[in-house]
Amino acid sequence: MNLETLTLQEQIDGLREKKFSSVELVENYISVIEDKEDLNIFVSNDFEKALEEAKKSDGSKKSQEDFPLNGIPMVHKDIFCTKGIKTSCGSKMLDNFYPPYSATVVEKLEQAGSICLGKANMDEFAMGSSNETSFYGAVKNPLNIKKTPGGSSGGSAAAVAANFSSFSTGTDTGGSIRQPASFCGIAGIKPTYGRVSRYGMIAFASSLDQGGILAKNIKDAAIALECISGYDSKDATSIKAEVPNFSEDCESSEFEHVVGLVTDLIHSFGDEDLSKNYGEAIERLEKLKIKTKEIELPNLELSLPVYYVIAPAECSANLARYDGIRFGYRAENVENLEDLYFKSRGEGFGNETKKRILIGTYCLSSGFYDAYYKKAQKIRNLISSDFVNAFKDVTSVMLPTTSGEAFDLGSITDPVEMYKQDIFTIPANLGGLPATSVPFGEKNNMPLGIQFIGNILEESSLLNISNKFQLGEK
Amino acid sequence: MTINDKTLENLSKLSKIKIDDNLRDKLKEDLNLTMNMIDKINKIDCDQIEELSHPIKNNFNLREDVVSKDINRESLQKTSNKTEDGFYLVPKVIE
Repeated sequence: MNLETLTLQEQIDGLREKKFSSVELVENYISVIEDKEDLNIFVSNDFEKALEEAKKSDGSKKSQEDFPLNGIPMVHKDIFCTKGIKTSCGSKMLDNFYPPYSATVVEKLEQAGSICLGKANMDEFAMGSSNETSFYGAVKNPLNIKKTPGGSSGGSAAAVAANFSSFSTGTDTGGSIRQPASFCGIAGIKPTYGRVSRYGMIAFASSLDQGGILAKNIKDAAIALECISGYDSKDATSIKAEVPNFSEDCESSEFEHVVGLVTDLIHSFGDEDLSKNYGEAIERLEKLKIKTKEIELPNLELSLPVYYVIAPAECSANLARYDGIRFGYRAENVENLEDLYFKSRGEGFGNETKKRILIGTYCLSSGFYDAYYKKAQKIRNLISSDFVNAFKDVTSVMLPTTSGEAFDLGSITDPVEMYKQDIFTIPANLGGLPATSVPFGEKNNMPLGIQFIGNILEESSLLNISNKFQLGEK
Repeated sequence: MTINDKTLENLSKLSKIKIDDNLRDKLKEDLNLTMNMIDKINKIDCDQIEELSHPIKNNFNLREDVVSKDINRESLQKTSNKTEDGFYLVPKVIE
């Protein structure tokens, strides 16, 4: 039996029925990981510790109810602080950072009994759509090593696609879970903003960042999402709401769906393949006898410019903390304190991060604040309102995840072309809405994805429609 | 061009990031391409619309104002490579 190809649900069942042990699972994964080192997926790992934990797990009598992921190996995006374990966020700035505490997401997954195999490579500070901005070099797409796995959670997506784990954690500020999930042919969910604690998740753009899950399928994503969700007093933006039983809801027959479609908008892009795949997705919904309704999202195209004001503005404030003094990279041979700041930040940040800090600084600077930042926040309200209106008539909205398949590494050099990768994923972040990506269709032998966007805190319904769609006709 | 040499110099000062000379031209080009894309928002009339700074309305949960001892000074300062007697060391600022 190839344990590494099993889904999370199959692994949970197999461990419970003692078909295999946690040690066997971990050993299988280590062997696969060592074979595929050239994919550049891990920034760090601790296999010895993982094996020790697996032994403990095999010897324990923990109930599955209390420890739903007992003995299950997994991978964290290297943006989540892990106590005493290097947490680099893909940056030279944090290449020497060993956090004194763990992120709430990390603690919750430990409490659920899972075992971390390693920390996944990512775009620097989650700023990128191809993994090429990482200080550690780009991750290669396991389906075709010439292609990008997407970004910024490219390492997490590639880890699942390459059978390094059945699920992984990721974060999504403008599409960073859904786009790489689509490029690697797996499922991903970004929950409602505030559903998953941001404590210990290294900040990029605080009003947009949200942790989530990448997995082989929606059911597995639902199981893992349930474990990381919930109110956390350490995050002031965490939502005080009960966490539903996502894994059960995902397969329930209780949910009624009306899926919102934007067929004209998709045709307006003038991309035949994009329209064709969207059309085939609609056909699948029809075969599943799921109701649909055409809706309008008139401001969708403004999402991109709005995002590239708000995210850099928030990042320029968040990344002000990297001063070379308290943690992170510290430049040598400096003349004075000012010089220490300038050189530490100049040498510690990569080019894309610098670019975004500079854009944000520009948009927030005296004389430009109203024209850019304030204006972007107003348009953010317009975009968000489009969804509020849509959800009066529909239970979810279906969009493509990306406009195309994974592109060749190194092929996009124009920053705006790269930013356009996120045109369909950004709106959910601006509205704080939960959204999934489900593998559907292919182009040039690479997978494509279909995205479902749900209403605030309605992950159960969202996972249900996404699961139905992924399973297709019965 | 929105961002010229002078603007770039000012942004470098404001953000306290040293910009290498060999990067300047490419950086200016990329920043201008991005600002051109962003400038689309200037054509939108939304004077009457309220700003949305946070996606979930009325959800700010403040903790009780009590001291917690989750992390101590010693473990926090281990992340810095220059500390002494519980203080962070920086280049001399007072002559």
